[in-house]
Amino acid sequence: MLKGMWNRKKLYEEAGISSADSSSLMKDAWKRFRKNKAAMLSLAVICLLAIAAILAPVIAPCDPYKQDVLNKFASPSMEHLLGTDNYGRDIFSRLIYGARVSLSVGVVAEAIAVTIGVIVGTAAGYFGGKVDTVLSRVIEIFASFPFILFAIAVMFILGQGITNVFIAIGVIGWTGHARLIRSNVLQLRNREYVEAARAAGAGNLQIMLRHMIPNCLSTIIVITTLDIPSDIMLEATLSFLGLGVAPPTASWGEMISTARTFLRQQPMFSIYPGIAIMITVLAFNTLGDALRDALDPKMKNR
Amino acid sequence: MKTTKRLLAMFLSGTMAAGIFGAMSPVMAAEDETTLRVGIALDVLGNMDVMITSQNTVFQISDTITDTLMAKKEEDLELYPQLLADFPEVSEDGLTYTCKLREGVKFHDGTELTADDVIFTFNRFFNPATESNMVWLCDDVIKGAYEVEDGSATEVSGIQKVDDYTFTIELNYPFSAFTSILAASPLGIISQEACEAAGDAWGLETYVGCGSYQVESFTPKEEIVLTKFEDYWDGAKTTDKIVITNMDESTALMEFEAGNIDVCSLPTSLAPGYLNDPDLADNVKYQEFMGIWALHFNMAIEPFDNVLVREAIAYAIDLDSLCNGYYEGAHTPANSLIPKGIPGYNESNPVHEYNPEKAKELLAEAGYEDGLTFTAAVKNTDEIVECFQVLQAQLEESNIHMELELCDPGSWAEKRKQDGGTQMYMITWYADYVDPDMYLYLLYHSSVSDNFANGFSSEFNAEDSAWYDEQVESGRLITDPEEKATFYSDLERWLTTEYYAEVPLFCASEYYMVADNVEGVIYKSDFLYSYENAVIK
Repeated sequence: MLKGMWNRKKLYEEAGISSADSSSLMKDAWKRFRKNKAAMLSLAVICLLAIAAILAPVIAPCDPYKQDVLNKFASPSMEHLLGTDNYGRDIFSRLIYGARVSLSVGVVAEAIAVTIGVIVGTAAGYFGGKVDTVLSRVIEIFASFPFILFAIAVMFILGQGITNVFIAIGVIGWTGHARLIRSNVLQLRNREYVEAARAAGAGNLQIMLRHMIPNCLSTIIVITTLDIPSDIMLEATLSFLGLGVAPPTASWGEMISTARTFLRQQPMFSIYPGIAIMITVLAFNTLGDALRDALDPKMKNR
Repeated sequence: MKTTKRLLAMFLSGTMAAGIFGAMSPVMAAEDETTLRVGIALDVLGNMDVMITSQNTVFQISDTITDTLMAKKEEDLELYPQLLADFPEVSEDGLTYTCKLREGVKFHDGTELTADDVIFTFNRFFNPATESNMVWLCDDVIKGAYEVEDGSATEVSGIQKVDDYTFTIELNYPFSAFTSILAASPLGIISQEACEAAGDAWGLETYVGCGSYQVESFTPKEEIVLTKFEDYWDGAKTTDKIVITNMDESTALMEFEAGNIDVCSLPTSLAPGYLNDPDLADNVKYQEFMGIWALHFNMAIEPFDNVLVREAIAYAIDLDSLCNGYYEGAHTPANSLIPKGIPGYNESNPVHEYNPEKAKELLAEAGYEDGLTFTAAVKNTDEIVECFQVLQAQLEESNIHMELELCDPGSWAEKRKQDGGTQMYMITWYADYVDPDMYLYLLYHSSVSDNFANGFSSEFNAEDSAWYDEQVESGRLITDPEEKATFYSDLERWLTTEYYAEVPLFCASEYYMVADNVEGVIYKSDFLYSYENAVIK
């Protein structure tokens, strides 16, 4: 019987309640989310960007690496929708390929950051005591480095390339996650159901994996979404400084960096990637805000 | 709360504005004073001491402050005696140079130039404590220079004082281009008294030569102010002051357009925009340099240890598209490693053929049927990165994938060394002295092989390297101009079209801007600006 307590579904069934009748947290959240028009719009924009990034080779009208030096700084035309850059490459195609870099940085680098952040945060919060003290100091040490300087230093050591950008941004971005998760876990770990689980013989790992982390899930989703834009910006910054992706890879930051020199000849060249970054960042930020409102309604009403 | 925020915003924007205007404010000159204002990147000017650098920016500033024994005319770089009263007298065997100094030449500190100052300058140049950057210019030529370098002597035994205005220089072998080395910027003659008195402050607080301008103030990497030297031996110059301020290229251009500076450089890629602007087109000047941009292969390691691969790269590069397409004709495709204007340059050399099919065949023959991938070490400056990106796309047509490893200048210089492990890099090489030796000896003789990763040393390629050493060494002994030209021209053809040690890309050239009311500022073809003859109307 005690063991049965673990399986809520079974419990419901025994009580004669169909689980479909219950309204889960996620379902409620989705209901609230759907009502938010801005959120739906930003979700659509992000989906569109993701599709463009994945299908870049199909969608892009030209080869983004194909140079045509006799056709530099061409004005927008049917052949080149947004004109050409200083090497005669198609700007529109490069923007689409740039979305690949930006989104993959957002996803992969954030995945690295979340993984580290959740592991460290949960361990610190759950075990407390000396483990917490040590891990918290580690978090503080990492958090005390200036963000961009640290990224520059990491890129300097690893060298250019998109994989290294993932690592650099991921390795830096986890401290905020770790802190939030830690405080969440601190609140959770003395809850009755945790004590019950412990009494039932669950091990530390099991409790962390099955009770702590799932209960932090809404926090994790929100901070991830809210953090992706800053990762995208950081990649753009690194590429702008010449430390991001290696040429000739197209990235929005790299495009702005190159275009900066040619403001006089072709001002739009720097504006297009700027708009792309702006739209993406805005979409992720709106989405993140909406997710927070949806997942944690108490916060909103407060 | 809101007011505080607003106040804070006002304060912030105020400080920002102050910062911008503070940085932009041109040096205010007194009414009757004429000032030449120059905006260039000074990040390499941490120290005025010209011996410890190889940077052109420092050279050109030092050239204004110090004079050299010989010098190059601004227009055609022809040699003329500057601090020497006449060309050196060369002995029959070509080993002893007797030099007579001008009399009555004053240093900025008022002391008179004597043979002691010259000998002091040379001793200091070779002294290991100075950490000179360019001793290789002449350390194998001047007798006794090596002994000073390794610490077994403090004075160069080959340079001897005869009287206050006369000295002799003895050479190890009769190097026919030695006179032109005496015109190299790092050998600008300095005042012994001032240098010894300054100690560690030399180059930072004090820098005393006998050039036409003296240092008024110097802030490392930020600004240097020069005032005309009234007692200059050739008569004081016209312009009272030269102010050189640190600016990156785009800032300098904006400042130029705003009328805050008189001289700045204009990146080639931006030139069309200015040439098409009717207000500014007249200010754009153009200079072709005695300099070459060339791809250098590290022939010590794969894949470029194979001559077929090197040849393939030469066929895979479209110099016409690079120079006439991308650079819109600003640079001329190179047909020789020796640039135009230097003996040994042969105008009738063809530009290397562009033929991607041939390149693929050569690669297949070398065993790279499926294409070739390699990494080039790229100095991270806009112009070099741009050039590499064009080449990268060109090579792709021949199924050659060039990956670019962008490095800052310091780590690039380390990578370029033989043990740095780079496979390919680009060299931008300007004539410090007008002689083919500057190109064929200084880039490939085994004694400099540590500086340039090309594999020409006994360690990697004993046979070819020994043969080549013999060639360039014997070239140094040729005195007949025609014989010399033919000799170097043939050797250059062997190096670039048979051995394919490198691929010359183009003769460098550059645009620069000079204000309407300024005359006499020239970007000389040795890649150095000359400011001292500026006239401001």
